[in-house]
Amino acid sequence: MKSFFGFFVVALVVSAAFFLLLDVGLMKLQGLTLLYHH
Amino acid sequence: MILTGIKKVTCLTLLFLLFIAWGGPHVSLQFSGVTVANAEEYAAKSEGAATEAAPAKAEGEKKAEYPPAPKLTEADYPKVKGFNGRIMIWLAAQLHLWFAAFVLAVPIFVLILEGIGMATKDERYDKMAYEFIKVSLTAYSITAIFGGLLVFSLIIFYPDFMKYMTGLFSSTMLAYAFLFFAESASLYIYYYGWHWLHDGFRKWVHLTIGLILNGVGTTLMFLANAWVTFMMSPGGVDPAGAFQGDHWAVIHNFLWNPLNLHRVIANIAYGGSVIGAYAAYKFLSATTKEDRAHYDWMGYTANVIAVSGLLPLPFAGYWLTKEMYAYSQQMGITLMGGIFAWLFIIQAVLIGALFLSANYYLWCGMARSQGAVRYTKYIKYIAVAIIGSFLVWFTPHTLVMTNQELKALGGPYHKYLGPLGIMPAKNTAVNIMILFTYLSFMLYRRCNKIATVSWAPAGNAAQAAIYVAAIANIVFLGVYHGYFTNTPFKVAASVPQVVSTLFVIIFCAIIDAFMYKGAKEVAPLQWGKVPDRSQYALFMLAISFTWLMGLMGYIRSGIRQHWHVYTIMRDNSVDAYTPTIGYAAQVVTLATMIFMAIVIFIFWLSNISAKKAH
Repeated sequence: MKSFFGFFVVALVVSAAFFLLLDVGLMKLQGLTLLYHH
Repeated sequence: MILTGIKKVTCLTLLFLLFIAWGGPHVSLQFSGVTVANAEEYAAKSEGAATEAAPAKAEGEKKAEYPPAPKLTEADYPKVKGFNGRIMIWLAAQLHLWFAAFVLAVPIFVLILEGIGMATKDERYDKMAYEFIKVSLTAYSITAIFGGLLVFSLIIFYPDFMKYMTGLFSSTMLAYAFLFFAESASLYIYYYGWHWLHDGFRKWVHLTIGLILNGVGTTLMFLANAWVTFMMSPGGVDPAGAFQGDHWAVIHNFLWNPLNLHRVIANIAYGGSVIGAYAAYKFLSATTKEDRAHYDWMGYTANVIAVSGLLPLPFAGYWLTKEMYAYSQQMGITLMGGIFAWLFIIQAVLIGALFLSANYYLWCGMARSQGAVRYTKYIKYIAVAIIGSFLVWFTPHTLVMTNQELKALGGPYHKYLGPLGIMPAKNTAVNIMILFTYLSFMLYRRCNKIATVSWAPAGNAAQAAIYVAAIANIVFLGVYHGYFTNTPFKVAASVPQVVSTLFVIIFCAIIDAFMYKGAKEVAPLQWGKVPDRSQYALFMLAISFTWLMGLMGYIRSGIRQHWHVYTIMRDNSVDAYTPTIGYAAQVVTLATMIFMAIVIFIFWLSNISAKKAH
C-alpha cells in the first residue's frame, strides 16, 4: 500500500507536468497561449 | 485445381475493380454531354437564366456550357394523391441510411473478428464472424429496396432537383451503380465462400475478399456522402449553381471529409449495437446453456464494438459541427443556437442513455467472474461520476418560459444551471463520461485476472495518477477557458481536452497489456451467467442509437432550411418550411418503429433458417 502511494505521488507530478506541456503546446499550435491575455 | 479457381476469382475481382477505376474518365466525358443536352431546358426553367448566362458567356465559352441551378415554382413539384413527397423521401432516406449503416459496418468488424480468429486459431471468432455476416445479408437486400424507393421517390416528387443533381454527379452516380455490382459480388463470395475458403492459403484469399468488400462499401458511402454534403456546402459551382468544370471540387466539398469520418465511426458503433440486440434476442430465447453462453459472448463482443465506436464519436461530431460553423456561421447558428438546438437536448439525453446502458451492461457482465467482487465496490462511484456528467451534458442554456416564469427566474438564464448550458461545460462533461466508461471497461477486463508482474502496484498507481491528472486538466481547461476567456480560447481549449482523454485511454491500454500479460485467471469466465436484465441494456443501446441517428439526420438535413442546395437552389415546394420539433420527432419515431419491426423480422428469419424440419 505504501509503495502504491509513493508511486502515485510521483506519477501524479509527472502526469501533471505532462498535461501542462500538452496544453501549452496544443494551444500554441492554434496560435494562442495557455493563459488568456487581454 | 481449387487454387486455380481461387486465383481466377481473385483476378476477376481485381479486373472488375480496375475496369471500374478505368471507367471513371469515360463517365466524366459523358458528364458534359448530359449537362449540355439539358442546358436549354434548364435555361428555360430558370427565371433569370438569360440574364445570368450572358455574363457567363462573356467570361468564356467553357463556363457557358453549364447552366445555373433552376429556379423552380410550386408547379414544378408533381403531386401524387394520397402521398406527401417530403414524408415519403424522409422515411425512405432514413430507413435506407439505417440499413446501409448496418450493412457497411458489419463487414468491417467481421473482417477484424475473422482476422483475430485466424491469428489466435480460436474457431469461436470465426463462427461468430460468420453469424454476424449472415444477419447482415438479409439487411443488404432491404438496404437496396429502400435505396430504390428513395431514388424513385426523388424522381417522382423532385424531378428538377434530381435533374440538376444528376447533371453535376452523373459520373459519381454511374460509378456508384457499378461499384454496387462489386459490392454485391464481393459480399456474396465472402459469405457463400466462407467454408469453402476456410483453411490455409484460402483463408488469406477470403480475408482479401473481405478487404475488397470493405473498400468498395466505404467508397460507395463516400460517394453518397458527396451528394448530401454538396447540398449543404456546395463546391465546384458558381454562386448561381453553374458547374465550374472541376468534378473533384464538387465531390470534395467543404463538409465531405468531416461527414465521411463521422459516418464511418458512427456506422461501427451502430452496427455493433444492432448485432448486440440480435445477440440479446437470441440469448433471451435460448433454451440451452450452450446457446446462452454463446450469445452472451456475442452480445459482449458486440457491445465492445459499439462502445469502441461510441467513445471517439463525440469528437468526430465536434469536428463536423466546427466545420459547419466554419463554412457558414448562419448554418452553425441555425444548428445549435436556433430551433434545432432543442433537438440537441434530446440528443444529449439519448447519448447519456447510451453511455449509461453501455456501462450498465459492463457492470452486469461482472457477474460472469468470481473475481469481480474486488471491483464491484467502485461501481457506485463510477455511476455517480457518469450521472453527474450526464446531468451537465443535457442541461439546456435556456428554457422555453412564460413571462411569469422569466420574471421569477430574473432573466432567461438560471443563476447556477445557466452556465452549465454552454459548450465548455458539455465538453468537460463528455470527456469525463468517456473516461469513466473506459474505467468501467478496464475494471471489467481485469475482474477475472490477477496480475503476476512484480511492478503491478506501480502500474496501478501510474494509471490512477494519470486518471486524476487528466480529469483535473480537463476540468481546468473547461472552467478556466470556458468562463474566464473569450470565444477563440474556449474553442481552442477543447483540443487539449480531447487529447488528454485519448492519451489516458491509450496509456492505460498499454500499461494493462503489459501488466496482465501472463496473468492468472481467478476462475473460468462463466459465459451465460448474466442476469436477463443486462440484455435489455443491449436493446436500449440499439434503439437509442437508431432514434438518435434519425433525429440528428433530420437536423443535418433540416439546417439547409428552404434550400435544396444551400444558398444555390431554393426549395419552392409547399413543404419548404421547417416542421415543428414535435412533428419531426413523430416522423423519426415512426421511422424507428418501422426499422425495428423489419429488424425483428430479420432476426426471426435468421431463427427459422437455423431450424430443421422434424
